[in-house]
Amino acid sequence: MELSPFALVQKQFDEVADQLDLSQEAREMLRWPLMEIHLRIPVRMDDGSLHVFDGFRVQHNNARGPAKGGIRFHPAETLDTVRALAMLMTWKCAVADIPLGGGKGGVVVDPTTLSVNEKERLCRGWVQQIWKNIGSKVDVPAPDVGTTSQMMAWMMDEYSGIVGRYSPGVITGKPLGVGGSEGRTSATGFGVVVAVREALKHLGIEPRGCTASIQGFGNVAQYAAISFIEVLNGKVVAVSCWSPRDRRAYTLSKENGIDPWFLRSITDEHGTIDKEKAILAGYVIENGDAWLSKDVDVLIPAAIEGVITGETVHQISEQVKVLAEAANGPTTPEADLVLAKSDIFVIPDILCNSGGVICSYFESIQNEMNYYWSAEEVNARLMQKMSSAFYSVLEMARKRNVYMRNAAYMIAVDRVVKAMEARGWL
Amino acid sequence: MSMEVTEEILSTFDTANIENMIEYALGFSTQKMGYAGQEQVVEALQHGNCSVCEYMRYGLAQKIAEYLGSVDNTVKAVYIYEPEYATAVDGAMPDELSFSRGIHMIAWVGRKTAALLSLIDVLGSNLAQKFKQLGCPKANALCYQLVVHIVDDEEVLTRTGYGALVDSFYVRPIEIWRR
Repeated sequence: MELSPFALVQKQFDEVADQLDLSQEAREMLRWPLMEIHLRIPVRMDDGSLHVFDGFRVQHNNARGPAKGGIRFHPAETLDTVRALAMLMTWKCAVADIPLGGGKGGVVVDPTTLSVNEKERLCRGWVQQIWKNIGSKVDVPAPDVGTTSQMMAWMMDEYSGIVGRYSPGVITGKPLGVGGSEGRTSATGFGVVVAVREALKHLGIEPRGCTASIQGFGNVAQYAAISFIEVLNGKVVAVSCWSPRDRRAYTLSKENGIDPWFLRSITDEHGTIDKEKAILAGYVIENGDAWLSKDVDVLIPAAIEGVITGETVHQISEQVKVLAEAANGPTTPEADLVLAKSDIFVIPDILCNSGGVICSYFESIQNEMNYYWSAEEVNARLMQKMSSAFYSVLEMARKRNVYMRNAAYMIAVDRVVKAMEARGWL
Repeated sequence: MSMEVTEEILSTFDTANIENMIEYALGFSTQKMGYAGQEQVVEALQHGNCSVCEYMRYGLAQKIAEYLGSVDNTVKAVYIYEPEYATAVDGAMPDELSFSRGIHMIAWVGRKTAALLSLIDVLGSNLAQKFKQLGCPKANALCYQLVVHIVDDEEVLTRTGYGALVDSFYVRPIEIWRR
């Protein structure tokens, strides 16, 4: 029988707990969330009827700080999925070494079936139901599937009204000008490249002149490409993108390095990169999977999950030194077994794409000070935080002689356990 | 899939399908925005109102899903999804209302056919032209794209390629049509 999402993350935790030889007490504390709230949110709809929405908020663990995690609006959201994601947030915040715990929430709704006014009433209604259990020192939600920065602004406004004071720190992902932080659009992609840089340094490889191949051309992929070129002085020799017109993916490669701005400029009305213009500019057009087999130093899967499988892992070039998981779950367990035995240095997703949650933490800090940093200051601090997180995981991997993915989870769990011990919970 | 079947499926398409889809999406957006009439939707689009565009895209997606299901009886379910959720959840959200421009969908079919792929191509081209005519000063080429990934039973079962997204707990597509 297939395991549910929460059962899967519990199993993953159990394996890490065995590796760390955790006490039964610690396991009991961490296998299940500390608090789960089931909400019922009454909302007056535009037609005058009353609809009561179901919602959940799970605070998995707050030993290291307030719970942190997004709010999902989805018609098929379940408590099981929210529990799983809350636990993963505990580990993600701990790996990044930000003083936050793990949380997640959901409301069972398809947000696009609501009018703008109904969305606002639902967001405010959510806060009205849960305001006593959230706050900058308690639980700090953020946008997630189906929620947006506008919704965060409404929620912040509602909370501020209820508590009687301006409280931007109650929630992150807010728009700029109402407590949002500069630098967040590029944070995840930039963070990926910081992790790559540190991995290259660890391997004794000069980042300047290194080559990369990237799957995807969305937000994270684009900022990863730009940062790889501008920050590392490296070359991105290939990106793979989906062509809506041709209904297939293509890899666009150029030996001297692709130009992400140029590729954006030649995207036509169908969202397809103009292949003729690309060819005229010296690009080679190959099939969509070609990115994976490029002779490069760094591979960055930044599109969807499950692309590096037990089969496709063998297409990776022997030249590849670093695999940076910018997407969530791009490597299957079967492929992981192969990679763990190879010479390829894997930066696991939980570490590699944590730039976004680190930037959320920065937003909270700025809200607390009521002083806002420039994008450059945010990036400088993000660079320091990502580098530090990387080296902590690396040290664990070396000390315990384990694979980087295992090390990331081990350090995360270990940090949470230490916090619980320090606080006298264990 | 024979040429005759391909032509038969393609022959079900005419521009009236597109007109109906746009009409539905305008009505859907009018209702959701609380406007008095569709002309307000068009005006809002022409002022670059992304809230309205989001509703337009969803309304179009609903009708596209219904249409695909009606012309190809191997279509089992159709989903709409946000590609950026594969990488960028946990806080790194842009200021705009939604990440990706265009309409991104997954069609789960019993059997992939060239006919369905051809139909989506024709649908996408025609829809982009009509949608673009509504006008938006902020729109770029990507705003009018229709991306439909076709996945079959094996891909969903083995979580291969876009089949992995159907039950992904990161991306969380929304089912908008089921047979």
